Amino acid sequence: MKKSSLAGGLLAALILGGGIGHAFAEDVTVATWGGTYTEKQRKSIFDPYTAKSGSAVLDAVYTGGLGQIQAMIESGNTTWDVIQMGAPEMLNACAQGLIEELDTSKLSSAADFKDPGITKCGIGAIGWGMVIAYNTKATGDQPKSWSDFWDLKKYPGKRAMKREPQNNLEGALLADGVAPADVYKVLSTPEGVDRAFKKLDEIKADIQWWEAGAQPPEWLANGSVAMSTTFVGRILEAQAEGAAIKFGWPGSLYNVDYWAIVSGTKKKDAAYAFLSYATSPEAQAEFSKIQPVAPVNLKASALLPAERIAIMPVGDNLKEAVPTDSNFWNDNLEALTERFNAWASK
Amino acid sequence: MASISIPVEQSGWAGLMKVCRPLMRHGLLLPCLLFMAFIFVWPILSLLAKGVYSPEVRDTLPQTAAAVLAWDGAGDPPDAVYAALVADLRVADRRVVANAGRRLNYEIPSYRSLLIKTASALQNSSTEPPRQQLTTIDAKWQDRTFWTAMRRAAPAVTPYYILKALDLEQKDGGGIGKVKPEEATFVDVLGRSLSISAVVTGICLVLAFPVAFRISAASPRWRGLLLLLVLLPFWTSLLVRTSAWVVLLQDNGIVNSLLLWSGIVDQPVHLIFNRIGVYIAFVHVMLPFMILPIYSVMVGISKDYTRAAYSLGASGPRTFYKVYLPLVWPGLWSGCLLTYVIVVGYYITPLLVGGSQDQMLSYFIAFYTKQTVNWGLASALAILLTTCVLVLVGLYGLLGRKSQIVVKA
Repeated sequence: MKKSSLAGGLLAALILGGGIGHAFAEDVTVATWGGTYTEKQRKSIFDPYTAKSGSAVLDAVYTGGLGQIQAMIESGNTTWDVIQMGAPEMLNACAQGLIEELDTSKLSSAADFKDPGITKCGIGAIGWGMVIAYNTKATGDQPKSWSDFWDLKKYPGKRAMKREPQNNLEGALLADGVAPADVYKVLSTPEGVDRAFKKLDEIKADIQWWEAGAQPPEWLANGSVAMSTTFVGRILEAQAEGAAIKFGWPGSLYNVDYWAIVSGTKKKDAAYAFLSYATSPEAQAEFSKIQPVAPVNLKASALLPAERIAIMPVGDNLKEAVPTDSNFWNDNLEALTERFNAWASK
Repeated sequence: MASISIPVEQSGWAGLMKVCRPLMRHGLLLPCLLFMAFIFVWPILSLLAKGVYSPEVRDTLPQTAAAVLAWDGAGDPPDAVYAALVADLRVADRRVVANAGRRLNYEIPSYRSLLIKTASALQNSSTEPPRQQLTTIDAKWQDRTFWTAMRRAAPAVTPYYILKALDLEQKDGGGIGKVKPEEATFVDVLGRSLSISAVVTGICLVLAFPVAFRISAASPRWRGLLLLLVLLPFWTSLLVRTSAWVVLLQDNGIVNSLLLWSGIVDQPVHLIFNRIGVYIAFVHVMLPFMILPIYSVMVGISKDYTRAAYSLGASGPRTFYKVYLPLVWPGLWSGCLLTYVIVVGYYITPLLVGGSQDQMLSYFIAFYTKQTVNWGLASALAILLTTCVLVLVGLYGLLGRKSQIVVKA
């Protein structure tokens, strides 16, 4: 499937390139999350771009962290040109010079992005929500908040959380009664961190940790956990398959994933050309039509039908959401990850 | 080992052959040795070196490193230190500053942001004294803990990672002490890796001994079939086998359904994402590694020995302890060593069926390699694990030799 579309892309590139008469366009290698996610990006962004520009898009799988990029750059053999990455990693990579500072004059849609949608090294690719989802059979009455997530008496059953400190520490503080606006203020103090871990202690024995995004819907569907933090997209897929799972927007944590250009790429122009297309309102809207993530380009929502907007972290759905503070995580990710690992392994 | 010195009285063809034969004999090993050296030994050594060699700060901020080491670490840092940092940051490349920042961030979180912010805020033309320039950019530069942290990170050869792997750290006032209890991880995890391996080895031994005995005592036709059954799991992917346990053992999986249906329990038993699941899956994966070495020794033991013991009037148990057990001892030892060493460094099984309290050292090695790019700490943990395995193999050598004496006696 991947191969044939790639071949198709190359063919289209040849025909278009030859037909219009300009030189054969350079291909560009995009590292992104892989799986059906990449397939949907191919359908909505990569292939239309190839058809328009004549430049083929090759994809590679990026699994998070900075190990892959660091190794690539240290060995002097950069095979990726563009990468989609999470916010703290993007900021970290930016500080370490692993990704390029963006020249906004080369990005045609840069003006349609507002902070934090655009930063020094990254331009928003998708907005996504980490929400609380629940098995409707296990919880009956609908849990609505992080306090409910912590309420093991009212909603008995295991809880699933991602094995990392991000989003979980915020959730713990929200459950402990910290106002959404103050979460990072509290978390920036040692006492606040202690408070979050102490709150997590309350449910520690009932937490089942997940690592892959596919785990929460599966566990929720088969009833091995009653509630889970999860990505919205995964829940919608499971609902479509008839699983008794629901989720709520209040208390969701809003995150942005960014596009960035890998340092030392030899195809910088091709990378900018690709990013200009990938961040256009049309491309972002097209992708949001088939994947339940929000566009970051401010003009893209207008191109989406209302029923699609309803299932996206955008507009009213973000009213009671907490935007994650990437700068906080950039500074504290290592230290808090260490603390988290020590805590979780005891 | 044959000597390669040429005896004086033997010269000519015969002498040449005498030299060449052992050379040729060893020469045949050469391709494998070279392969191992380049593909295995060299990369591993260079990776392990990262656990003690961390020159980022010295290379990026050479003047600062020298100045801060010249300072005795007590009281306020001298002006020379500030001047050196300003001079270093003015000429340093942004990417390498970030590298040094990463190393410093391990000492104090937010040090990286501070360093990068300072590097980009420094003005070349400023005539202010360096101390003032830095403290204007960020008041943190007045805090001497940032400078003592710099002092710890300045030498290229650092004990930081090894200490960290042992839950220790260099204290601000000098000396080495334990890290805060809420940050201590690795000693526990190492102890856990060793104890999980011991339990798995013990269970495997108890299960494998009768199986190996039965196979070795079976008729040749049955023996082939039984061995096939032992080997069968090897032909299925490890991932598939481990994931199958998830399906079987989960709260509403087959095992729990059977238990509930039969009325043995009235609530599902948690069998997965905890230690029980790890033991079950591990024993399943490791059993062939225990059965095969024991079987291979058992099958070579002639029945005449036990018959002789019986005919001399020894009881069944006495025959077993005095005659049979010493004979199978080498097989038991190699089975245990093989199982123990493989389990202690295992990654995928605890990852898939364990909870966060069941992860072993390899999980953290992988975590620091892939996720946070803290290769120094990953290497230090690998050194820790390798040392443990080497000690175990050494003990095995000692005890194994002793056990052979027992056999001879």
